[in-house]
Amino acid sequence: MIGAYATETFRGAFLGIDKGQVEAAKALGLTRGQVFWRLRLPLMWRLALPGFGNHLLSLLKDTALISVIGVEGILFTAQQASSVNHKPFTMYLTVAFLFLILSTIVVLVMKRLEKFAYRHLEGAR
Amino acid sequence: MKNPPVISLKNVNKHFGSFQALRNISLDVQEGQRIVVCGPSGSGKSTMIRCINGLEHHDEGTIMVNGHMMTSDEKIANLIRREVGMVFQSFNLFPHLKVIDNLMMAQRLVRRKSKEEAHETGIKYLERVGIRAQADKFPNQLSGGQQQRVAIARALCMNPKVMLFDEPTSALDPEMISEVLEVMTELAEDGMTMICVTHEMGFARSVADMVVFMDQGEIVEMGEPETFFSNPSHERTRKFLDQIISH
Amino acid sequence: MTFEIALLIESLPLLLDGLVLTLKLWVLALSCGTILAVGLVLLRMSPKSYLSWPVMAYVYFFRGTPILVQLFVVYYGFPQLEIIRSGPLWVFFREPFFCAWFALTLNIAAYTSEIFRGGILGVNKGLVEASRALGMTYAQTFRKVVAPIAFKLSLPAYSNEMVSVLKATALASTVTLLDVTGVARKIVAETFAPYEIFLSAALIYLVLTWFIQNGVRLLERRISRYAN
Repeated sequence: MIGAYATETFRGAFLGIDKGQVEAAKALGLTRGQVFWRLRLPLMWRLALPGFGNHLLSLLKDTALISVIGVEGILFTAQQASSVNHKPFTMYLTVAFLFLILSTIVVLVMKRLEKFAYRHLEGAR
Repeated sequence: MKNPPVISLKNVNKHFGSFQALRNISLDVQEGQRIVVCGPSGSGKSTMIRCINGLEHHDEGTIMVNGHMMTSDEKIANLIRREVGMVFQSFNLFPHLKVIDNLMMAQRLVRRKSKEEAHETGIKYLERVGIRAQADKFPNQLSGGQQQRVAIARALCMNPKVMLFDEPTSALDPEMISEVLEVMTELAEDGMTMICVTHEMGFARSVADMVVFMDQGEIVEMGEPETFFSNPSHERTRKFLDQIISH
Repeated sequence: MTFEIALLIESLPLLLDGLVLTLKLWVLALSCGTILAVGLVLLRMSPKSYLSWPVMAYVYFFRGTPILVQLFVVYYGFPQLEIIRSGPLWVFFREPFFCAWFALTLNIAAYTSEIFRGGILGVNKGLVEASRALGMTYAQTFRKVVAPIAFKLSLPAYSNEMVSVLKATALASTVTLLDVTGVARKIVAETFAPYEIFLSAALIYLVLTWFIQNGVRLLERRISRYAN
């Protein structure tokens, strides 16, 4: 499922590449293969990064859903724990904060990646 | 005994972070005067007029408009803005409203006019700028020149004492510049006090009674058009005029 | 295991029973969540940090944690707390529908407030300057210029949110509610035919999604005829 969403993001990013740059590359005499690998791919990654980060985030949170279908997951453990210690609120809140920390890490990593990808724009007014 | 100036700037300084946009600006504007401000990009021309109507706040110095002192107090700034009209380089018409509604909105909200009154005034000024027929259209159905004329009419509907123009023709295609300049010229001939930031030197020569040259945040030189254009006293002014006129 | 189309078709009317609850939850949570979001975004955009920071924290929490976990905290977790159990609201919180509505509303409010914030930030600053230059106060500018334009800008993202909420209503089935998914699970437990049943349930959600997306598209078209 994440593949379907991701393909759309990449397609959008691919189409978003400034045609002018591609034409400039062709005019300079680069072969089609060179144009693809050295120009389009890197640019496409940069455009897709924010959207892709969001996909990663939803994927992370979707893993919680799997427990409903009976597969062992963090949530399942919490359910079991709460039936033992009779503190469901504490258990589930802990799970919530666990996910919060995980998603924060993902967001921070994505931000650093974005910074790295766009470093050529820093300092421009 | 001369009347007190409508606008008076004294030793105005303005910083954007570490960049000083205005250095010790002093300028008096009399009623009925038509001032053209010119200069290279980044010279502070737009910043100066935006300080006059409070869209930017100055750091030092005093700005007096119509007897009010401009401060960082929004209420005072608001009072001043009612008497000062502004026309922007990018028109800034409200896209979700028809032309006539663009003109009526501020009248009803700020001047508390009734719908009929506001409508009447709106139509009057649309005729004045020559586009009565476009009243019920939306801004993006009009050409750039028409949109800017609507913007001028919108400002005029508030009966301002002073009109500020921030490069009103810089975003227009060449063939539409003259229709806007015509409107501005008529406005000047009717006695409107105006400060106009522009690169249109022809307009400056024919309409202005004072030209101000700014560079790097300072007012380098100001004077009447004849002397200014034929015999500027500063080297920087000369250089700028050479670049502009050679176009 | 054989795939029976007959079963698929038979189960549809049964599933439609659950549709009432799905739609009820969807409408109630969306409307309350959106209204709450308006309040939240106004606080969030305030220059006073003691107003905007709590909202930022709220949004951070509700967007950083899965809805299912939020639902469990409310439905299974709240009864643990004295204040809830002995308070006047207990009569509400022991009802699964209320719990689902409550958790969903809070979640929707968080996401929607960010959507609105994006819309507000997307309004051309020049228009705000023009309104101020005409003498309008910021409140007037916001009401008459920023809000209408921000609303239009928010529509695409908001329609995505509407679809997400529809999918989220399926989680109500995890707390005993008999929405479309809840009914589906019940039937599966009885007939042991998960493929056919869940497929028809999916079909129902798909049709609903189609309605939502096209509905919003129509709305967008009517609003933006010339006013772009």
